[in-house]
Amino acid sequence: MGPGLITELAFSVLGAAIVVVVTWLFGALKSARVTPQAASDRLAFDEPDFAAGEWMIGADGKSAAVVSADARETAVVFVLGDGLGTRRFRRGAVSLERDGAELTFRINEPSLGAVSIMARNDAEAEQWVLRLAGARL
Amino acid sequence: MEFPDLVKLAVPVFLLLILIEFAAWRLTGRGRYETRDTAASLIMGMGSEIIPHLGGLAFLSGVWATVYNFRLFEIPNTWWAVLLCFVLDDFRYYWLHRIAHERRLFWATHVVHHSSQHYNLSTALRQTWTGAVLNGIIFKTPLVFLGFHPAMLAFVFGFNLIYQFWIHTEMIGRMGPFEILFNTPSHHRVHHATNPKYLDANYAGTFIIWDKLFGTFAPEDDAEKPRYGIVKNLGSFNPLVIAYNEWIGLFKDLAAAKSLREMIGYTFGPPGWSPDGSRLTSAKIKDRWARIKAASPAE
Repeated sequence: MGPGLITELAFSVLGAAIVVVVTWLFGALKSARVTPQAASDRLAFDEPDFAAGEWMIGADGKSAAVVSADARETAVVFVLGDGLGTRRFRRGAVSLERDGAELTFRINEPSLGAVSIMARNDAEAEQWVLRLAGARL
Repeated sequence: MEFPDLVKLAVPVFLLLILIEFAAWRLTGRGRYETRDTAASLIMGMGSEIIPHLGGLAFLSGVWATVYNFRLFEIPNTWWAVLLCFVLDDFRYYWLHRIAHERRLFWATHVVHHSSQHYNLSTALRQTWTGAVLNGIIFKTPLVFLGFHPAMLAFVFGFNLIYQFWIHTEMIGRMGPFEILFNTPSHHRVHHATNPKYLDANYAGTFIIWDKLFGTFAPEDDAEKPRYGIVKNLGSFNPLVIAYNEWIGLFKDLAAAKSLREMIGYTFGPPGWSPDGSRLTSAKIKDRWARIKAASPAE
């Protein structure tokens, strides 16, 4: 890597930094909010054959979980910037932890280690732990 | 004939056009930008320009110089040769691109370009860090063997890359008769979409005719707005994750493979291939979509 290339790189970094700062200054740093509508729309697009049962929308609007109508599968919806992503898995295939009102699905992917969902309170979180474990409530 | 490094010269123009498109988005609401997404795309773009200089480019140049010594034809560095090289290289690009979508080994490098849920000019710069050597050796060497000078090849590919930059936009709608022959923003929006009806279509670089000839063309449907990204969207803007996520997934699968057949399937099968068929390939996603559509004809 010669000095010419390093100079070009420096200019590229500077130019890219200007672009990023401009987008930030003019309001492009945005986070999507997981609403019932947004979550079900995203899931219906990504997993159209997932028959959604009851939803748990995170109290902080950053994530959601849903159990399938036959209680065999779970899907989670998460925020990435101004977009949403989903993951779908068979019940029990992903470990679930509860810490107070926070439920955490350990997805263990390089791009998505875990998805945490904030329940409104500890009791609701505990109820969802049971529901996600397959108990009929 | 001297062949300038077109991409290097184009970088300031790329950045200026991104700023102009961003301003147009703020003024009109057409398109979509997100700061972290744009930052990730720009970092991927810079990485893709730098990383080959760490040895890959020298290796590739060595291979091509050797192959060029054994070339089949003496092709002069003239304008008609450049034109011919451009068309053949675009044909070469179509097949590389198609294979990059249909075979996981190559998808592991190309997925980077599709990993954004946005479709704007910065997305054009979201390029792989791992494809230059493998793709260069397999897909470009035949043109060198034919007799095209490697510098000419680099020049026409640079031109192709520049052509492909401007088509990454939602600002431009349909382009009339121009769309018959050339790849356009509309055609390429379809290519980046994850809607089942748009999957695995429009692989063209410059000339859309390759897709029309080989049955992979799909027009943009005004009734179905493209949704961009990959079928299993990433959960991170980290450039290292963007660059290597699929490679890690591939190596994990290979480590867990129980037979040579499984290893071959994971490596050369379509993205989403699994021994038990439990994962989704594009074909399965399209089948699922067709079944759901057939079951609800009212929609």
